[in-house]
Amino acid sequence: MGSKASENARSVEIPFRVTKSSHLVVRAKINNKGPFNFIVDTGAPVCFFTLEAGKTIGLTADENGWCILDKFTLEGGLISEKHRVKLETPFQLVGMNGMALGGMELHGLIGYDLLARHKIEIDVSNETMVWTPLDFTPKFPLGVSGKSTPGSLDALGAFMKTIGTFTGKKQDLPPELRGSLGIIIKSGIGELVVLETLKDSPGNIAGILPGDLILKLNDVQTNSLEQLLQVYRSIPAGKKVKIEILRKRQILTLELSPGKGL
Amino acid sequence: MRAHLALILKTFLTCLIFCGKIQAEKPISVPLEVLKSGHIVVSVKVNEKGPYRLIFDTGAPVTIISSKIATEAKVVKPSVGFSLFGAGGQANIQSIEMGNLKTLGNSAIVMDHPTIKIMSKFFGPIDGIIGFSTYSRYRISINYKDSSIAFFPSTYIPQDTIKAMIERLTSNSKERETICPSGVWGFEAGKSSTDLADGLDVISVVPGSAAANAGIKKGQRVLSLNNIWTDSVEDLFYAAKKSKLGEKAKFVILENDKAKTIVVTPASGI
Repeated sequence: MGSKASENARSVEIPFRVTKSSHLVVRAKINNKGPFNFIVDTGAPVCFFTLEAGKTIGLTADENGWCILDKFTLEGGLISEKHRVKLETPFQLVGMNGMALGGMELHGLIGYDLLARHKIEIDVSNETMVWTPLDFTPKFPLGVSGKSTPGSLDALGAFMKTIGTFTGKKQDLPPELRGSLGIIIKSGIGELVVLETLKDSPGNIAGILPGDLILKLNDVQTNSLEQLLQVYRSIPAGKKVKIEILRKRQILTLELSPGKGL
Repeated sequence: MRAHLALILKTFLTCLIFCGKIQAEKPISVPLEVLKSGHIVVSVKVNEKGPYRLIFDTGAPVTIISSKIATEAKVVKPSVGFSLFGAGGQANIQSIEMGNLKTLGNSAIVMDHPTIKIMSKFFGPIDGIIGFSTYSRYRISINYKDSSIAFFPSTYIPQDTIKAMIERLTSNSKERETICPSGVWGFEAGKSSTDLADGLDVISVVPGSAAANAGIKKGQRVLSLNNIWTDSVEDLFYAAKKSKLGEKAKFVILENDKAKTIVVTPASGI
């Protein structure tokens, strides 16, 4: 029981993202630089960091392609010191990045030699992992001590290798950020009644008042918070929106320009 | 009498919730074999045939079975498929069993993977890979030290990766994603393009907002939100999107060179 409790105390919650190609990606900083995107890959014997990404932070490999990272920090705060990684670009990453299949640039793989030192709980529905350090030092994997790295066992490796040469597709454009109106809705009553507007917010400036009932956004009827959020979800700062409200039996239409910030 | 019934009903409901919870939390443990190459092997039955040895690979988007399994387990290959992967598309598998865990309604690629063939020479027969399309349906706990993987129930339904990838390869969509934060927080943060240090500066805070009430102030540095690094504005919005409406969100803030935690509950609104 005591050991369980101390084990839990050392647990680190690590957020991750599922890529469009169904890979689990954890962000990591190397020597406090980054973040870089790593696939969590039980099919990889060791950790890999691409040559290209290594170059951007001045890493160099020894004659066998190894590089010792002084500090390897996973998002969430798990730190490994003096961790040895292969500084090379696994062929499936060439393909994935070349064709922008992941929806993000990928910089490496986290493999067995780091994974096996932890109990790793993965919850895809929540996009969180919990890593708990174990008192366990895995045996160094066979066949990777020299140059003959078997690489990762990506199921689509052969395919990736084939398409790796077609590096035509660009990574996705950076995302836009939804704008903010500063309108607070009374929660839990079903109807969209304005509770208040934040000081100097677009909603405040446009004259929206507490008690106003929101009927439509950009001519779409909004009967619930879910519907309102659905209509409003892709409107960035600066892009004008039209709001129809009911105030004292009068329907008013107002135009607002969403602001920046959360 | 009515009170009596209510009590019975309450007891019954409590029991249901309680049992449901236990049910939901009870994992099925599956033994694993770690090869000298560091790969994980699990023993798998396909359509009740086998067992076969398959590699458990979190880096594989889809489950793969060998043509040997396909024949023995009578897995029907799709007649028309997109033969982009050296395989005739995806086949439907009625059941995949790992130990006492039975997963129904799987799809897999039928393919004799060259690397797997080479591995079989060293480590005995291996007939495929358990990938994301199968394991993501569970919350899993991998323990190399105990040589086991625990599977907990989950509600996650994986996408059709192959379909998604083909769509990605063939689409010319220039659509930009918009990151939509949950709720109204009431502050703005940012940094200059030459600022490479961790985190973002708080630029402004709206008086009376959730952020202001929680103690977020101009001049502070936001390092993370719910464990997600906030080194860019996109990251901050992404973390605010992942935060659930009405739930407390934890910021790590740097102020006068000291890190502290500030909890903000964003307001519902837009």
